[in-house]
Amino acid sequence: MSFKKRMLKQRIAFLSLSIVSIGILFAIGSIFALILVNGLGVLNWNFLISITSFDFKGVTHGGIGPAIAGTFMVTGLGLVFAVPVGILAGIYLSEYRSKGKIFNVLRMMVANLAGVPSVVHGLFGLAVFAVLFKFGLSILSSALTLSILALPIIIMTTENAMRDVPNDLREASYSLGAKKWQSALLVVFPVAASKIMTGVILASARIAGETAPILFTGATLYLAHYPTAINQQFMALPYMIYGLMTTSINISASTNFAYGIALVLITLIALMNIAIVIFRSKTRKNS
Amino acid sequence: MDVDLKIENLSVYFGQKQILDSISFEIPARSITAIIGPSGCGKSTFVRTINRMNDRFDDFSHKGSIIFDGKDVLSNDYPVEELRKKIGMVFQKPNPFPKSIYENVVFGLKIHGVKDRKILDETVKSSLESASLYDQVKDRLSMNAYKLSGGQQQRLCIARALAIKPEILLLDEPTSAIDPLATKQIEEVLEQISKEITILIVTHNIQQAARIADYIAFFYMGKLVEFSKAEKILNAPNEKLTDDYLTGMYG
Amino acid sequence: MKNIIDRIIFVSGWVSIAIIVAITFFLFYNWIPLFKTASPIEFFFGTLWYPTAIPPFYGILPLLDATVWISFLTILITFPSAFVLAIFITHVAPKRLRYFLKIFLEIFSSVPSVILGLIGLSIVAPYFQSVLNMDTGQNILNAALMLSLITIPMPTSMMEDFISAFSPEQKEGAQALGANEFETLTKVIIPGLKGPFASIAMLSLGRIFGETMIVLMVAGNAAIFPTNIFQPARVLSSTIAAEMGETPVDTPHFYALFGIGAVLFVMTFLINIIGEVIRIRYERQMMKG
Repeated sequence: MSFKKRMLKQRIAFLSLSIVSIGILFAIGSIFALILVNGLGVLNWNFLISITSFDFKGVTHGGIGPAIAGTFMVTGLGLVFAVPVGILAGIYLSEYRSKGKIFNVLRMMVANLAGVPSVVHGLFGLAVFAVLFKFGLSILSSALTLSILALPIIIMTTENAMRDVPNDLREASYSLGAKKWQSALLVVFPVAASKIMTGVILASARIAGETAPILFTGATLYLAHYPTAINQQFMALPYMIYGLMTTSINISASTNFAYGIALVLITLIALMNIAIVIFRSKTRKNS
Repeated sequence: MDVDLKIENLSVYFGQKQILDSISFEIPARSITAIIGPSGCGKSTFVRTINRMNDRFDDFSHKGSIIFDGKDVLSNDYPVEELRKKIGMVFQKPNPFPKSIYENVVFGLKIHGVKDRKILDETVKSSLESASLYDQVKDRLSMNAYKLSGGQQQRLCIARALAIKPEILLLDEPTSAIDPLATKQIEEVLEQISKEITILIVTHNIQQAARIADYIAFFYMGKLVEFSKAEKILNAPNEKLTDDYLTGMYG
Repeated sequence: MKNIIDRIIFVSGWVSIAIIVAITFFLFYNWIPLFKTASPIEFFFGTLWYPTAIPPFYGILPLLDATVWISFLTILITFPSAFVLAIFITHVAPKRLRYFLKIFLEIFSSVPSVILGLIGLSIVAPYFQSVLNMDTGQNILNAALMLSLITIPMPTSMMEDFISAFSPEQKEGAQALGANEFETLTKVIIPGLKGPFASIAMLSLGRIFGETMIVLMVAGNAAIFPTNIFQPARVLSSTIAAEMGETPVDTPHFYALFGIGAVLFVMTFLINIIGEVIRIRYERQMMKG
């Protein structure tokens, strides 16, 4: 084949690649655009803070205040459980590892935990937190369920962040008589902290948007007030989208409402992602 | 001659590979002993064995003993944190913590439970003075140590090691990563502190050994070829191997 | 010598295994009582899923069948798309754009699946029905499309990592022989990445398999054996989500749903393990080579 022909082949190949890629990217972009356009129409201050109500035809009125509060509460509480355990587990995998298969098995189990379908987590949460521990259908049960989802994400980022810390800092602290945990927590962890932070934000973005794990562990479609205690059922943004789209009588009105919620949810998650990008560029500059 | 460390028949292995072969000699107290030898002769492994930095490698194993204060520091009964408190170490590359100068120096004290602010402040001053760094940094103790120059960082590492009042200080080629001027300053520091502390320094630089060492041990292929007063080794070595090395036959 | 902090760290390190064991235990613990009502053969090979009928039927075969259909179709769309996108990002897109594309995909990957469900239900389904004249817009194709969209970022970024991690020496070797960029890609890079691509396919499949909300919202929820992709269907995961809320604790229906959970868990577990093993084996080969 002549040089010209080969270059032509490359051109055609790359051109068709580009067309397909731009098509996919366009599809993804249009999802953002659709949510923005459809959601902006419903969005106002009242929508964000007031309580939801339904009229006799099943049309949704009011706002999503309790759902925003509920999502914040389960996510926050879930992190309270997941962050300490996840970080310590990541530290264990990175600092306490020794040769031998057992650590590879442990690591693989973390990856597997990350791959467990979220609806299975929901079943587990129902069986253990709601029924066995008698926490009932509540913010607490849902938060605990979500914390199990967040756990592997936090463990994996912590392990990688700790491993990236140069070894000579560990040697320096050991040479001063530091014990393993002192070296890990006082020297290595502070260096890895900002990278670990990105993992924590990633985990919160993930659990804030989950529906299946809270579906039968505590979320409810309608609550006449803001949540006040962790043993109550709660409204949540993702669950509300699902509920409005599948149980409503007046589809077109609830669709608009659902887009408003989707816009709020996506904005929240996008903000978290932007925080991650900023954190990352900062750590890059420092090292 | 006071003896500080007694090495008895020390052999070190990494997996199947033997790195050190039946080393025996006695390190005199409050003096500078330099360990010289071509790269790969095991000199670095030797000092890292003394404060048990090699313990964390899974395939590390040893025979023989190192007697310090009448006890074998290599035995598992000897608490390794206590050992490292008494035998400090400075590494090849300066490795300050990414913390303030102050926090670097007090780190050792803090992990050993010292909380008294007054003691901490005093130790920072005296340790930095010993490392002749105090005058340069006294007004910016809260500055991040990473902002110091390479030579200053290494002197900070010396100050950090001195802060917990070790009886022995091990230095593993401490000047190989810094410039000549900073090297000179560090050598002066070492000569100064050797009046109170036993110093064991690994160096690949014969001139450096000649400048500061009271005693020299020459290692070759994992074996101790010769150990004696510095002048003796440098001027009239017993072994031909030592002579060959000193005259630059190999390096 | 272990002190209290070492112990806390140790225990935390083993929590993930403990959770996996606990999940396994509770799924099976709540599944086994079903066998008093329906035999394992009825459960696995029964062709009817009518858990609330009288008498009830607890056969998961139609659900399993639909799961395989949808997952297969989705991976068929996702994998080549991710592949094309990965090459586009690493080889075609201008350097400046690359960084933004990566961030764009990353943000999209954290979009909750329920939002794709919303799009599928409110935009794609009516379009299918009114413009393309399908019987129903809530069908296998719709679900597979939405599932593909949400899955694409993961394999794309994994492939991208592998393609750009390809050693420059090997690339230069081909280029020194006169190969252009496209030829280097097709003749050197891609054949060298069979292992990781197999692993990426498995890991994506594991993800698709367990995804619940999209299928629940847009696949039409009919527990039948689909014969083409324009029919509605109901998969394992969405069955649990749809029915568990209205199922009383400790009834055969409750046990059956845990049984579905157990099946789902074991299958994704195996898929993920296979994916991981392929990946580890490949990495080991690379380390040797």
